Amino acid sequence: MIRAEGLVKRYGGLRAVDGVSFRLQEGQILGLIGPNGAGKSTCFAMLAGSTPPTEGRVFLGDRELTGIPAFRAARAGVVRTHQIVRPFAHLTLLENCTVAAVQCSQLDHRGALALAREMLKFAGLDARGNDKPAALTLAGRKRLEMARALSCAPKVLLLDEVIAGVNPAEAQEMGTLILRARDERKVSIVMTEHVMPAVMRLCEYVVVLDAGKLIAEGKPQEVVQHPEVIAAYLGKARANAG
Amino acid sequence: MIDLFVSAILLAGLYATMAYGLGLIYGVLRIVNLGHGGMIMVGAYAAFWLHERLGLDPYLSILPVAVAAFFFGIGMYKLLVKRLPRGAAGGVQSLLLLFAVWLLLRNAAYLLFTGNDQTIRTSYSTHSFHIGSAYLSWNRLAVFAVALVILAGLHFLLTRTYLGKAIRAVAQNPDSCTLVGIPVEQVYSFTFGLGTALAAVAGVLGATLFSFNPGFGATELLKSFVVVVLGGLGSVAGTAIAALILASVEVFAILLLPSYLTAAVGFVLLVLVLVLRPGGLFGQRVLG
Amino acid sequence: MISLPPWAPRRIYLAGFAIVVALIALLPFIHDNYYWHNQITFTLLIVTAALAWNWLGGLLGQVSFGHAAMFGVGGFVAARLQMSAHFPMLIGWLGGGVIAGSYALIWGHPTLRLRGPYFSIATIGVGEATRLICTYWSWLTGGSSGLSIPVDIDLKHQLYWYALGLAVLALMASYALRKSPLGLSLLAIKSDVDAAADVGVSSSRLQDLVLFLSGLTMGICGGFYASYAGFIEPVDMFGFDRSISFVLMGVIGGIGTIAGPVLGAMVFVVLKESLLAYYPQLYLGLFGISLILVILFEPLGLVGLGMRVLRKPIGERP
Repeated sequence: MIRAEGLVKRYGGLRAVDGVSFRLQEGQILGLIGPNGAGKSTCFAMLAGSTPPTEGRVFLGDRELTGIPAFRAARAGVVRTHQIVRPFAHLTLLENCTVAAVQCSQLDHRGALALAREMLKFAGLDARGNDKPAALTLAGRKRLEMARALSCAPKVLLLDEVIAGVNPAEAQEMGTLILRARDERKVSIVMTEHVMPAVMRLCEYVVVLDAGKLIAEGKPQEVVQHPEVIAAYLGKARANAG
Repeated sequence: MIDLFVSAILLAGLYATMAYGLGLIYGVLRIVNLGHGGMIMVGAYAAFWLHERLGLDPYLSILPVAVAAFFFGIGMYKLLVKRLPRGAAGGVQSLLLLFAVWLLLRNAAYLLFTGNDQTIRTSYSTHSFHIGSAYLSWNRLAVFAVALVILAGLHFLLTRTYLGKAIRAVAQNPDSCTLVGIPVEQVYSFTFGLGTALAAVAGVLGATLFSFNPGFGATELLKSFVVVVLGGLGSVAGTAIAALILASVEVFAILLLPSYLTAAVGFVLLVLVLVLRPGGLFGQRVLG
Repeated sequence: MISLPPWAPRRIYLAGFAIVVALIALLPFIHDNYYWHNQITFTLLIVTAALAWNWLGGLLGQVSFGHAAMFGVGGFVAARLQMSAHFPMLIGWLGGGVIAGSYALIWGHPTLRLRGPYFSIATIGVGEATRLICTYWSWLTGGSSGLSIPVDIDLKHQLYWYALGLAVLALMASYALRKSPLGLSLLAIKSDVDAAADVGVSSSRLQDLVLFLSGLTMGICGGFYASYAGFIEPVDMFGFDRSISFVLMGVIGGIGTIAGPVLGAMVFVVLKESLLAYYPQLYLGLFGISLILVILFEPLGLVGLGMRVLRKPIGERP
């Protein structure tokens, strides 16, 4: 589905991402993990078009997406959420999703509105469609990010730490939502996450970054046993997974 | 030619003083003080009034005007600016709020002094002296000297005193400052007062050189922005160099353009620099 | 019946609006008073200009302190087209508008990359630079002495209905820009331009559109003003005071709303007119205080106040 080849991102002398390649299969949930500063968000940004790679290429199926601006990436079907939620404060929840639907899908206004309503319902927010994001809790806003991203009818969803920062019950629900997104909405997902139990539960395949380089990949259960991965996390992975 | 160079240098002193207050307030509070132009105008009128009423020489009124403006600035901060959200969310709002203050100041000036142009004429206003073939007016020299003293004083304040270090710390990271026990709110007030005082003093200095009216200030505001954008925040050296660049551009532009158009050069420069400088307006320079 | 897009106002409101417009149109026949005739003409013009300013300042959230630049460009171009090239009045206005809109694109396109206050500062520079440069270009503006555009009495009388037409068009455009899917995208850009891009909004294109429309309309207003006043000069047309007036109308009326600029413009014209005789500069102080009150207590200005008074639910937007 999505293929990243030899992604490099240099900021001045610093290589935030240094030669990372991975593939996302259709219908798969791929985890992108690693300690802080490993380059996960930068990879994300390169996939989503928020920032162009210094080197390397990004493909969606056969189509090259390298370096295209974010709005084109979104319309092509690659949509991201944000680690720090960024709802459209001046719009209601319904309008937040409608904008996405109108811009990304080929639907007319009525169709877009219907899709937006459906996504809000999917995320459990349909009762609050006319509220503004300010009225929601953090968990609600994270759901809104999901609903809005899904309103783009994407092929690939890039989830940037959607689970971190909410309480365990909400985290569980977000996780379920992610699984449902894959199953019901037929999206392939790349997610970065710190919350290890979520990674274990949701990801079929995991790619580990450290200091910009890819140090391990495989099924989550295997990868966390990897000595280099443990070293990179300084034991955090084990502590959280256990 | 020499006198043009000298003119530029002397003018730069005024511009640097004018711009520094703006840069200080932005650097520490992240607020664009659109009332800056108004304060410059107020300084000019304050000096004028003191001269007309009390016969006070403008250079002597620098200190009282500065002190009054300092407290006025603190008052503005506590009454108005403090109520706004910090950072990006408050951006345009603080802009408009301080702009409103500017309108009020203008109105006050109209009511108190009429809209006519005013000047301050002292016994030595027209006197000048020679250096080689160049004529220098005493006023321009005095303004430059005062500006030097002020800038040196600012540099000393920011680098050698505890207060100065606190100001620089708050400019870098206000949250960490509270953790370390620096009274951030008080630093904000002080800085706003200081920035306001600097603007007023620049107004006093400007009043000795130019005529002014209540609409005075927009041009000075823009020139201050040019200097801050070019010179970075708070760095006295940077401000000085940028002021010199602006003053030189203006002074030498007179060779090519009619005098009133030279201001336009500065504005075009401002827009160009803003547009061509990636990542927004001000760089990440540290105060010092 | 005509089919309307789903976001159009309800038929009953449209009918009400049509009635009001008809009443204004018929007013001069019912009660002809030279002073009021001109006052209403002028007010309708200013309403149009305020609405145009608000497209950029309110919908996109980019407050321009230099919109007089387009007003002036439009006015002088229109005047020159009529005087020197003998174009008919409306073509002159349109020409002025197109040039003004294009000028807005030229300086606005690169500048809109700047966020918030920095864009606003740049607009001050643009406004002042335009004024100075255009004053210098006396072939355009006649230098600081300005230009005269004689308009015959009958035509001037008819300006009333032209102004009404302009205002109605501007209102319709405002409504469309606000409520249509395009409007949602604009508000998304206003909220968070990067996040908007992440959901497929092409900010650059939309910003250019609003810039051009705003400049075009401002330019047409300038052309109208030239015909209305019969004489224009650079300080009045391009001046910082004129730019400020649009900001004040928009923000005090209710930035980003549809009714806001209308209310703001009406209040502005009335206040300035009443103060003209005795305290012409007092409007600065009054508006300054109002602006402070609006910023601190009621961000949606007069419209917000109105909403509070009528106690509309918070969910609904004007």
